[in-house]
Amino acid sequence: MGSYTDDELLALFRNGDNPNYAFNLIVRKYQETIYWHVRRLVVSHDDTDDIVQDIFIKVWQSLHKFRGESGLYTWIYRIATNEALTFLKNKKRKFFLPLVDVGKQLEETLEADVYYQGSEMEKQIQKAILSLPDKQRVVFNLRYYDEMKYEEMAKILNTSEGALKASYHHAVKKIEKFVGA
Amino acid sequence: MKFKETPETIKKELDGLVSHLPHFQKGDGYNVPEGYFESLPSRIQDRMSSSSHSESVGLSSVLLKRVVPVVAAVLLIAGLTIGLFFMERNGAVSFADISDADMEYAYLNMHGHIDHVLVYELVLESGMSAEEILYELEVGFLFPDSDEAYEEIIEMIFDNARYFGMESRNLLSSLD
Repeated sequence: MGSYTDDELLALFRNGDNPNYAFNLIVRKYQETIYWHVRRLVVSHDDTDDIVQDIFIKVWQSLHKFRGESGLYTWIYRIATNEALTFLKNKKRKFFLPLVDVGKQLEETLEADVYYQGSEMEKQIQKAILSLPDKQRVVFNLRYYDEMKYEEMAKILNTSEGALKASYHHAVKKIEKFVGA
Repeated sequence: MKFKETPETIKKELDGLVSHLPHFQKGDGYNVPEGYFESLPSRIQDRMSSSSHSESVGLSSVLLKRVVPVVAAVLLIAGLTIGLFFMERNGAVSFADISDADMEYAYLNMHGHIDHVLVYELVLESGMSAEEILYELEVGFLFPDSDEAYEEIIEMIFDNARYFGMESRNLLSSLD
């Protein structure tokens, strides 16, 4: 498989004989990035697996309506972020968890997940990140792990760059405090 | 002039910010089962095939699962309300004449999909009322994206229930 640009993939999807093939290429191109983005938010591999499949099904169902106002990458990321946040929101509702307990529950998931094999240091950092509010966690992960520009993040999260910068710096301070404590 | 971000400037900023964590490696420790990413596209394709296959029947199953019980409950309550109204006007029937079985039937039509053991446990553990818990559970169940629409319906259902003297707390304990 050659590395297609997003525009080429979209053209192949719209004009080609086999949209399924084009979609498959899109999945292959983005599956890992999206998987890790969601995984860092919901922690459990099994939950992530379900959510990632849902995300790509949604992409498939809506791709013919995609007009390209934002990039394909940004659009998929936005769907992924919304799906992951909705999952966490529903989880909170289902179990009536206040914010603090959500972090605690995610920590427990981390400890129990057979597909988590981080060092003590990595685990400590992850716990610190999990103690952040959901949206702040998204900002931290996108910036720190995905090294995303604020400009791009602003399009995904529909928030101003200034607010995102503030949120990220605030998150870093909290993590430093958590780990240093 | 607006500052232009590049991968280098982002990296520099990140290195500088996390200054208190000298050993902070960027690894996060998460893993996936072997061969996971090789098999994921085909599993997604399988789900696409099954979802497009069931799309036409999907609507009817959604209707059956979600809309029909709500509509049935609303109709039932409306019917009971109207019936009670006329019966009261005729002076023929009082609240005491409605049997427990009728109440349970009406209640199950409203909340039959809910795990009552879970609700009961939550009442004991959380200190919330059964109504609050039912509200929370049903918001997610019926209208995951619309709390406001749900609120209107749930208020109507509970108003009707109260009209019959049905407190969900009591109904729950009677179902235990």
